[in-house]
Amino acid sequence: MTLRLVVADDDADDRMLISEALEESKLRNPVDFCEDGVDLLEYLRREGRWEHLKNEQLPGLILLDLNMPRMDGRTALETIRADQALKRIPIVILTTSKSEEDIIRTYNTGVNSFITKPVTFDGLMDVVAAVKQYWFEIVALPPSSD
Amino acid sequence: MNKSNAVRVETVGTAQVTVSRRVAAPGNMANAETGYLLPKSGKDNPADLVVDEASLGNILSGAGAGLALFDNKFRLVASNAPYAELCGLAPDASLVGITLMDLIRMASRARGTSSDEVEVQVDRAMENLRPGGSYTMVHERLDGSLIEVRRACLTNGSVVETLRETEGHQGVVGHQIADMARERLDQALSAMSDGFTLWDREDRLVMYNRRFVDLNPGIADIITPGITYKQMKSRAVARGLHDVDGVERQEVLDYLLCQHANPTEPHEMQLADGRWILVSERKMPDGSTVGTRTDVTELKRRELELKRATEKINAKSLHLDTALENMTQGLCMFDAGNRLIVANQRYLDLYGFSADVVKPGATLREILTYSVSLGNYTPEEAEVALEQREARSTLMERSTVKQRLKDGRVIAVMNEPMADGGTIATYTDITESERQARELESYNAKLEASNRELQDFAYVASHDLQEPLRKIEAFGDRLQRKHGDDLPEQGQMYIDRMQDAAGRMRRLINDLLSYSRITTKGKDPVDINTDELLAGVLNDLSVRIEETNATVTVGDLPNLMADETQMRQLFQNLIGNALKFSRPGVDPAISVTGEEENGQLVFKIADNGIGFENRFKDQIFTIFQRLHGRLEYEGTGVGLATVRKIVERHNGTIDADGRPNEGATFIVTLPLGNEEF
Repeated sequence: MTLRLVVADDDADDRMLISEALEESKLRNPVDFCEDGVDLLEYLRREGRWEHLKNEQLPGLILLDLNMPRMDGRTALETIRADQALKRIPIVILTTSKSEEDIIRTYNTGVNSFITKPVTFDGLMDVVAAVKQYWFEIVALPPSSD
Repeated sequence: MNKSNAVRVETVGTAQVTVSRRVAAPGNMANAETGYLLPKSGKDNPADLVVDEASLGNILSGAGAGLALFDNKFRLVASNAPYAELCGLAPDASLVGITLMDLIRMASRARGTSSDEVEVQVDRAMENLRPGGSYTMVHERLDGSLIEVRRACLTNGSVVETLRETEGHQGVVGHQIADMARERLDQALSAMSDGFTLWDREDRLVMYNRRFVDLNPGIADIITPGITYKQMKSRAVARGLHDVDGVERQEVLDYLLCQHANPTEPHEMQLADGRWILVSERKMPDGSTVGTRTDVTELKRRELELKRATEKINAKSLHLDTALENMTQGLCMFDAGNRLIVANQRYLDLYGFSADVVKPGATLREILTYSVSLGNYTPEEAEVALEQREARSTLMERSTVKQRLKDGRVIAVMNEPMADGGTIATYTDITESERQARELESYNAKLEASNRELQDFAYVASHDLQEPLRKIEAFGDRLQRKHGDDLPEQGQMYIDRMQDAAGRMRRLINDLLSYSRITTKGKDPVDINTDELLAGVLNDLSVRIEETNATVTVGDLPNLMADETQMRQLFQNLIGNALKFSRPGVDPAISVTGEEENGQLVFKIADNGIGFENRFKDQIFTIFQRLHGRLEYEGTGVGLATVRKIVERHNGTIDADGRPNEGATFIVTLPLGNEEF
């Protein structure tokens, strides 16, 4: 069973760049894109526009941006970690923020990695390739459903 | 001078007999001298008297008074009836041949006089009745009536005695008592510190004391009983004792006489020897004049001293008053009981007080209550002020209170305790300076807010600019990567230029961000080992140092207390700058020195690079200002601006000294210790 990957980022450019980088890294897993924290939680709970995925298993990894409208990544992170059904999903923060406060806070909330968005596309390619290799080829992920 | 009880008879003119008697006063009064003149008792006191029997009979019987004649052996020759009667004897008693002494004894016995007293009288008669001598005395008879007895010894030794009833003076006091009184008077007058004179109604000198003579040294020789005031003063004026500049002597004399004739207020007079005399004269009801002269020289001197001292005090007081009334502050002084001692007009004006209410003696409570009634402040505020004053004066410490009056004025009240428990309070209208202080405060707050906004803007702007820039670079990158081969050579060039510009913008934004972070993300000062710090900086720059073949000499540097990251950045930027602006073909030689100077740390970073003209000095520290073209020397123009900002945050200063084509020296001065920023 191929695990899904979900990317939550409000920036359409970034979603496109990440998507292209994932494509170029030859990731075979299906990728879903959410636009903010609320969208992400609906996705995870298969609500709203994500109802059609009701029968799909939960994603194996979340790539989460921090600064987003409606619900930011920090709140989304806390909500997921407090949710019995979702708390085991690994989360990698992918953000433009370099602030120490964000790094400390998110690790405290149980984030698995904190990555600052590389400035160049080549940099992004490197990051995406490393994430793909680490999380989908090396690490054993928890079962996606109970 | 004759000091015995001798009696001298003088004839002055024809109408008067003057008896001048010198009295030897007992004890310490030995020097006392008093002169007095007795008014004549009758017109019958010729030097020689020769009468026949018939005339004698007529005289005797015609005389209204008792009359007796004695020969030079004091034996009665003739007498009339009133004589015997007044002696208390039978009118027809034959008295011829009886001696005067026996008659005195007989008459005394008839009056009931004691035998001792009688003998005193006998002795007195014996003493006085020498040729030319005479005396008068008064006897009191049993019925209380008085008899005046006059005995005169003629030059041939015979004696005339006259007796007559008298109205009686001094009640029961007899002539002896009068004598005693006179003696006491003599003593009293001699003892007086004032000069004393008694002039009779004809203005003749009747009585005076030694002090009077002493106070008239210029005319001591002419002062004698009987002299008239006019005679005395004429002589004194003639001798120049009363000379007044520009006034005729006659005028002076007239003035003196007039004043003597109509004595009014006591007046002062200066003697030729400089002494001051207070002359006081008074007319008696009988027309005589009593005068006293007091030596007031000492009094006068003290008065003058006092006057001078008072003048001095007054002058000082005037200065103080002038200062008090012209000072811009209100001032008042309270005693230990908080009662007003003095207040200046400014104080009254400040509070709109009336001087009728706020006057010396008024208590602070009264003044405050009054001030409340004028609407200066509330009763509660007044109560607080009063409590504060009381508390402060017990503590003996100065206090400053700001009062806000209802009309908006602000008064600074400073209470300065005095050693005696009182208080000096000064009142300064600080409305204007308070207003300015508030304005300055709000201006500062605005400035701070504006600075913060500016910094926030720099931070947010640079932060937010990063995002779209990242996209430009990323999509530019994608464009080149995916479609680069499809583009003509010119299209390739455009992309290159675009990417190059984007990269410069990234560096600009990053520099701006780090520049704005100097204040927003600054850290607290820590102790820094400067040698280690420099070693780290040189390590970071090692590649560039090698590339440029530079020599960096670091001297013995003092340690400092500062934000370590920023200090690292400071040295990195300055040394980096020195490496960058090197002269083509000259290997950079950079020296870093530092020392403690006047309580400050002074670091110098000197190079042998291209230098600069000092007129551009200010420009090089301004952000985004560059002295050189971008192609010549890369950089954003933020490096030195960042350095200056770091120095300023550390309360230090930075200066630069450039010499074109020789090099430049940057001088950073930092305070020894920065506890906080």
